[in-house]
Amino acid sequence: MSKRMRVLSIEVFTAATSRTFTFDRPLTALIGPVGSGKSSLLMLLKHATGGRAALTPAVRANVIRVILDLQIENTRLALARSVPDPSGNVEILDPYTHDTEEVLPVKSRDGAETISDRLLELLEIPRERIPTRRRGATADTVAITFQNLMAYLYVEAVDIDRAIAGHTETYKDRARRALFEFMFGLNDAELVALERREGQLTTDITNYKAEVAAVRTFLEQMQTPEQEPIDQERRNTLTRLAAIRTELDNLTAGSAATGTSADALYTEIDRAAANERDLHLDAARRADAVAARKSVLAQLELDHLRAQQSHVAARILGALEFTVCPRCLQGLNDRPVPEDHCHVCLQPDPPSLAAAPTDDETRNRLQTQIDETRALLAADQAAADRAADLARTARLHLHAVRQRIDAITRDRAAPLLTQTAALSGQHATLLARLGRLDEMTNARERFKDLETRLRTAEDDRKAVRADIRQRKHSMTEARARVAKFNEAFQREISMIGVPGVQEAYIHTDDYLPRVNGSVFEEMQASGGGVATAVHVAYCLALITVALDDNAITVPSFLMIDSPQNAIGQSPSDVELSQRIYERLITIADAAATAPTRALQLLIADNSLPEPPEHANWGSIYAITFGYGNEAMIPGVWHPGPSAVTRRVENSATDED
Amino acid sequence: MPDRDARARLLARRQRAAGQAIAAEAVFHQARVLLLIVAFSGRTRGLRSLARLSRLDFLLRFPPILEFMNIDGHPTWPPSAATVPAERHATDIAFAGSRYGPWTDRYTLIIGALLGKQLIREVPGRTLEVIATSAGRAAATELAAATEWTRTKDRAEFLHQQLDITAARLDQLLRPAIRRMEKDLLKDNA
Repeated sequence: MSKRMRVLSIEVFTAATSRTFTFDRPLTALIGPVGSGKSSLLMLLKHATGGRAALTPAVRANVIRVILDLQIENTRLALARSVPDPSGNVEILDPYTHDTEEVLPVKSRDGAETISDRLLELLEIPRERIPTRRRGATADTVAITFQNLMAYLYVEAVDIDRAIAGHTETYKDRARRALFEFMFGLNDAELVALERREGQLTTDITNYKAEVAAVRTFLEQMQTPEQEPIDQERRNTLTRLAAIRTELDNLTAGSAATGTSADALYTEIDRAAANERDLHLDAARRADAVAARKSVLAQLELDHLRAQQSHVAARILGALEFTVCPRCLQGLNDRPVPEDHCHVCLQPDPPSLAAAPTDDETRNRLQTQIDETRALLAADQAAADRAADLARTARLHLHAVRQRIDAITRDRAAPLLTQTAALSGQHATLLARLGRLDEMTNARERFKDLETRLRTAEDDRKAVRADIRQRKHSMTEARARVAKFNEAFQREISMIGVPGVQEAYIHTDDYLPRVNGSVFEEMQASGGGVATAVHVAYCLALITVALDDNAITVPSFLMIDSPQNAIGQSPSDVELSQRIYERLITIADAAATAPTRALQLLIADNSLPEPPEHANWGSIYAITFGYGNEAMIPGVWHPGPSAVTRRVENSATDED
Repeated sequence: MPDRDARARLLARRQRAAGQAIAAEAVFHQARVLLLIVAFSGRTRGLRSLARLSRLDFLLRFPPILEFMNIDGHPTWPPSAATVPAERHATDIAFAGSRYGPWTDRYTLIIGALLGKQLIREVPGRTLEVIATSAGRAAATELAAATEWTRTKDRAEFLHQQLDITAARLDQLLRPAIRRMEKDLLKDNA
């Protein structure tokens, strides 16, 4: 059944005051001259639901806040939003106290719930993401928003003879179509999920195909053999590796065994080295002793020379008597000196001086010492020479032993080393080959894995596509609903009596009207009035078919801005306007008799057309606007038509 | 008291030996210094100062020092005055450093003795500068005639010809040379 959605009231705030517009009748007309604010009120309504609203400079300058009281199904809620709204948030208020309960963003940030999400949830329209492209589905998707639904519910003045629910814009058109299918049960969450899955699988398949091609190229370029020969070679390589390892182990064990026979030699070399060291030390010590002895001998020889020199000096200089005092340098010759007395101090000579010189004694003693020292030196020298000889011999022996052990080691170790090196080389080569084989195996396995995945993905996609077809095919009921919509549309067209229409129907592919074989965009050529009338017929057909069929979930709410604008003022035009209004009244009255199915129609127009003779506009609840104090914005004096600007500005942060 | 007599005789002999040693030591130094003074004596000027005398005498006492002195042209002793192996290897070399210095007091004794024997005389008007007398020259000639002193006389004359330089300059050359000699010759001896 249609979803019940009603605007109970809208409260417009300026800095100084506020005004509440209440809508408690099925059909409400906002009547007023150009620029008095009737369209702006509808725009503020849209603004309050988080939509991008075209607000006039007067509204942007004076209105600061708007509160919308809504009823969606059995839920009442109040939405408040700043005007303009730089923060991009809509407040959800308690519907009775108007206390702020929640603040929801207009635009989704990090997946947080938006005002659109909340409203769609209340209308039980799934917040699905739909694939962006109908054909060649991919993983790219876009979310359906409440404002996409709003395009159905709010026929703006600029769109009335131009676009149906934004069908002229690609992204909006995808959402429009998806919403239509939801509301008519032509589509459901499962189908969307299936289509999304199809898109995902298509993307996967493309990626897998690219990877499979890349790996295949690699395998071909590397001339990779089949898996069977690879496995065979791997087994052989492993066997050879094991054999080489055993051989290497044997070699190591063998070289350790030969060590025992060399042990004796090593012991000998140790002993020879110790011996050589001892003898060398002994020789050095003896050489030191010889040097010390030589030094003593030299000193003795020098002393001996000095004794001889003293002997000569004594003979020559000692014979000379002092003739001058060595202290005061005065002459000593002119005084008598007794025999055996000092010529200087006149004391008796001591016995030492009186005695005969005994220099020979000293020299003889020194000579004896020299002779003894020479003998000792000779003995020391001989011992030192012997020690040096022994040390030299020991060194030669040590050298010989070393050469012997070198030779033995060389003879035994060299071939061993060559063999080890060769085996190690083979070992490394085999290991490298094993690495290559593993690489090939990996590449082959990767290739197999990718092929499997590709096949699975292709099979899955086939199944999913079949499922999608099946599901769509089984939607005969849904198609019957579209047929009913088509009938309702044709009925509205005929009731309204759109001039010049021979053939009109709803196309089953895009759910858009065709009139005389033309699409909606081309109808303007027949005059804006025709397009407007077709658009109104389309909207009314949607509502009536929804009211009749429980399965169609189109909300029972419609706002139309200025239907008469494009229609004109000729008598036939006026009649068309009259018929439109009659249709609105009829539908509203019919809905009013069924209180459970509340319908709400909001029409904004400059004035109501003259009622035809057989009817009156009594059931239209009219809210009239004027200039001066009667304008929509409360507490602000409207200066009149000369101040009206048609230019509108878009709120920067509003969503779409 | 045979013991007392023996002790007296021993004492007398020791006194005599000591006196002889002192006398021999004294004349040994007097002879060497006399040869040096004679070599440097002109008619009016001699060795100029005791410091210069003592530094030149150091070269006579330790002749190997010459080869370690950093003198322009690196002069060496002439063949007749060359060092003998005993001079190079004697243990005395190790004490050369401690025997270099202003030993002017000792020289005062030596100079005094030479003056007392009128082998040298003071230069008039100058203190502590002496030149040889004719008696001193005669004694030096007699000493040099003995082979034991020929080498010393040749060395003194060589010093007069090659190293007639100031006391301060001699000091500058000798001090590092002593260190080098001790290091080098003691290493040789070891």
